[in-house]
Amino acid sequence: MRRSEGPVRTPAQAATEAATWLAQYRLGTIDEAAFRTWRDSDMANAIAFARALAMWERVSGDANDVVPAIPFPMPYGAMTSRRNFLRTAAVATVAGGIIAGGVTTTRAYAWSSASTEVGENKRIRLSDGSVAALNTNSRLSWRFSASERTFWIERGEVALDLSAGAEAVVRGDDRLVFLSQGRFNMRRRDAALDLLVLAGTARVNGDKGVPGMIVDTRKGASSVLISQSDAVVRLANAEQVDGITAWRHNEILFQDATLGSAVEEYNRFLTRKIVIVDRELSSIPVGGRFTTTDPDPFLQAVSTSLNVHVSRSPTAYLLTR
Amino acid sequence: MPVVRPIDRWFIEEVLPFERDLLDAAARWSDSADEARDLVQEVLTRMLSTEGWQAITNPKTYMLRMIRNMVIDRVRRAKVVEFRHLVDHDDFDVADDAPDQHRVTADRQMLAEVAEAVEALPERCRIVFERCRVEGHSPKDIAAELGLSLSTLEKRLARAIHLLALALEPRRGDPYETSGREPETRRRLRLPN
Repeated sequence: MRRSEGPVRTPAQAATEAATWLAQYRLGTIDEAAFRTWRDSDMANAIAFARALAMWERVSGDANDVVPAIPFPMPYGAMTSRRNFLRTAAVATVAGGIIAGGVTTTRAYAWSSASTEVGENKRIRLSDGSVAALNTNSRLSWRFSASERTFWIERGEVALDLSAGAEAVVRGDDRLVFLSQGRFNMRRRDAALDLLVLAGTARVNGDKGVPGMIVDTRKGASSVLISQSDAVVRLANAEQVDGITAWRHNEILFQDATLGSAVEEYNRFLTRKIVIVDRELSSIPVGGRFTTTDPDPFLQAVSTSLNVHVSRSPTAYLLTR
Repeated sequence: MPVVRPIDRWFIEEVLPFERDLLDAAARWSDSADEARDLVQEVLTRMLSTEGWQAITNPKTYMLRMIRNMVIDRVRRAKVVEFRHLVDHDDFDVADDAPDQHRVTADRQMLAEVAEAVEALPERCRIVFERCRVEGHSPKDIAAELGLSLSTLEKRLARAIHLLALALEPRRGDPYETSGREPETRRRLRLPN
């Protein structure tokens, strides 16, 4: 794709137009065919759009995440040792018995996986161009073939920015969830999967007399809790979406929460846990936005505004009256 | 083909973050900031139109070599060869494989710049931008809430994006001539006069 005939555009002209296209893309009003014509007409346009998108993602908090640890696949001859390492790691995953159901592991069909420790988060670019972000204490496995992309959230929480491509399936314990291109946040809650659809469509297959369903974003972001016996859909308002996705910015957001639930949420990120010693403290209503990486401001707020005593032991923060 | 292609994703994550390094390198051999910018724009153009992008293992080194080759080409064609053009070309042959710490620091600095840039937006644009950056709002709801038409919302968001992109555009550490830049930001910077 080289520059077509016609006057050469300056980066500044292209930038102005790219901003409009990106605004339309974000607002869902973009005419994709017209956009492609514009982008393909001049490389300066394509660069300007990528630049605007990069800016948007940075400003929306994506730059906060860890630099990707896994490189793109390199299909040509010389593989790096890192690539070989990954292949070994994928095979090791299979040997570890994480995948049930008689999966054959040819080279192109092996599972890959990534995980985070408590308090860590990570962003990974997958070979299909999708991006997965792992919240604290999470593990994601995936396997791509020409006809299917399969994901498995083994623990924790994963945000998936899914590119177009082969059919994408998230395997739960019993149910399958088919995802379109789009943006999704998935959190494992025991045997259930809590899925937030931010863009695109999710289709939950039926099972054992339970009807399947389709969740889309026509009425706004929706979340669906998928368990073996049920799939419950709720519309998510802006505040709820903000709360669910706050971890992408290393934040934790409490709205209409109780101290008990807030502490439970905070403890996901902490190796040194917060323990409520006097149980009646659990029901105190709390709210606020805090950083996941440092509980001190939260404890400070609890201590001063709720008049709760915070003691620190080497392994825990203890809350008492 | 989707709006955001795999090559765009790669370009955003593996190419654009090194733009400032490219500018630094280009500036060492250019007579003007404009010439350096042209060089970098040409590199970006080639990167975003390459079909073999998946095979590029180290985009930064690859691009620095590309700049070196372009400079050598220019030097060969130039009538007057300036001596400085011929110094330190060898720098580029040393692969720089340790950018991560640098990038982490740069990311942190970036976050501060982002906050500042958002703060500096005209209020109408900033409000629209803040509402739209949080996922999950439907555009219609945002428009209704702010009492705007969808088309006004779109225009203000576009303006916010444009101003932010300008404010956050990578540039060299030293303030340098920016003749190719949009006049509006320069006007704003000079406001006290």
